Amino acid sequence: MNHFAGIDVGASTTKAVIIDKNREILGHSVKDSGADFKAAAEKTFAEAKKQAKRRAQDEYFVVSTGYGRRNVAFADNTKTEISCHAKGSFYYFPESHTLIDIGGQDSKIIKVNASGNRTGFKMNRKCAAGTGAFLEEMANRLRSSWKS
Amino acid sequence: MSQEKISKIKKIQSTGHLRKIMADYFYELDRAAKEGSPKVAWCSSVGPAELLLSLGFVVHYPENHGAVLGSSRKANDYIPVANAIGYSPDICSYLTSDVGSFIKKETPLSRAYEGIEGVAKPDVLVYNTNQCRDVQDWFNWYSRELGVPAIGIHTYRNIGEIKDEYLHSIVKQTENLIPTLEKISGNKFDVDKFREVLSLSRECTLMWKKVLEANAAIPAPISFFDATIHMGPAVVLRGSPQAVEYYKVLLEELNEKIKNKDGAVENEKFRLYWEGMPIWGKLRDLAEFFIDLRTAVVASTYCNSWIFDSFDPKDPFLSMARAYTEIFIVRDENFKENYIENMVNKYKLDGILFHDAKTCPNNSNNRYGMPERLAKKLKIPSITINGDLNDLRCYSEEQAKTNIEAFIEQLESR
Repeated sequence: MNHFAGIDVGASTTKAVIIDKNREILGHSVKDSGADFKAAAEKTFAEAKKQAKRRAQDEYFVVSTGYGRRNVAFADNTKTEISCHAKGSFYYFPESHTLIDIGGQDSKIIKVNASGNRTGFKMNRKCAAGTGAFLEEMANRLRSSWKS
Repeated sequence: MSQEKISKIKKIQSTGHLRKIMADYFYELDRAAKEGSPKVAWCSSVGPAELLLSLGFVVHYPENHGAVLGSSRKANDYIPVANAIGYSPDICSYLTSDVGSFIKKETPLSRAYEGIEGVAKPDVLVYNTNQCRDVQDWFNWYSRELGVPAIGIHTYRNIGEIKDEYLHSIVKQTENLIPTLEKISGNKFDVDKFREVLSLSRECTLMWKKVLEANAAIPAPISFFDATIHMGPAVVLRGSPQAVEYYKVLLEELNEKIKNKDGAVENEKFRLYWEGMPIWGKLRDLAEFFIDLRTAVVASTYCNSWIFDSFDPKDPFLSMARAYTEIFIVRDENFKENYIENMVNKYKLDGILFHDAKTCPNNSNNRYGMPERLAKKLKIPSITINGDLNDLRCYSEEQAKTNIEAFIEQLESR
């Protein structure tokens, strides 16, 4: 198989990306996850495919991740976002580093060593404690845009 | 992790036998309470049960009832009831769920056993503070409510070396309980009877130890989640021949599984230690979750806490004092670390899971740097999940599961 798709069904947004065997990004899409994770996964994947200009019969190896990863029935494999972030981050920064992910529901701190292996990680203990959803809510109350 | 779901919990055939002896036990308690004879004592689970049995009491263990409330997922109906009368949601959720269920006059035992309307009322309450102070506060609530005496033993805690003076104090405290217990039971203390009960308790404890040690085999024949259920007789029936007999049957089954390489987890890939309390309301769910991760939770502090190998019928008072003092929960951090290190080596474990139980600080050993020290020393990773024994409001399920899954992925990439 020459094409791969990653679908990250997060608590806030769902992200899909399609790459080829040379790891070139062919298409991607980001949409609100809403209440129906299954639909969000299908919609983002469809849009990423459209952008990638792939033929309808093309096949993909699909890995799902994120809070709603178990809702992607067409995924060939699932991984936690902790593993996926570490891999993605090491691709761009191939050295020992610490990665912080402020997600909608969880915040994670991931340590990656010089070989790209995770040596440890920490997550917030409780749902929505200091996470992206909280920051969005606070920005709203402070009449400040979280996008800027 | 693959999408493939396997999650089939394998049946343990001896469970039928277990159900029968547990039912007999609850019916015997119920009958005693209804007929007023023999007298009923309530006892903390790691308490001087053998003394009570030797005096002819039938013994109810409120912690066992707490676990029943947790595993039947009724605890969260009752915890707020105890909160409303001033017992904080931050204290032991066994205490709050048990007291709440008493106030509401409900128990899952009624549903499980026809004819049992409530928990057998006590004639005396006997605690040992070796595990925590909460047992004392718990029993004192019942003492005030029901007008029955609460008496107990105060154990030295957070200790490394077990000093003679600690044990002598406990022996003295145990002896001091006898006049009150004689008066309530109507029976004279008989040291030979005490020796006999202690001897049966020792046999039970040694058989239970063998059951747990069966998991040194690869693959492990029984999961931690099943073991928490099968430890029932070691908690409530030790001191009786039925408990000894049961563990013989269970051990035989496990040995057969070992012979056939029939592990609790099909294609076992990783082996973990569970440090801390079970999450009673999620036993099945977590058992299936770990099966899908091809990870066997092989050994635990919790199940090992009912091994009292120091019991010695030749020296009943001193040996009982020692047995109930040398357990994990009573000891200092150095002892606990060495203990877990031995377990990791003995059971060939790949990682340690610490359960930080919100309402049970004494059974949560991640709070003073132990996971970090052990990871450094043993060169195996550890993980902490936040939850609780009974109060499921304290368990963030998605966080915990993502955490565990990522931990297994980390083990896979090692």
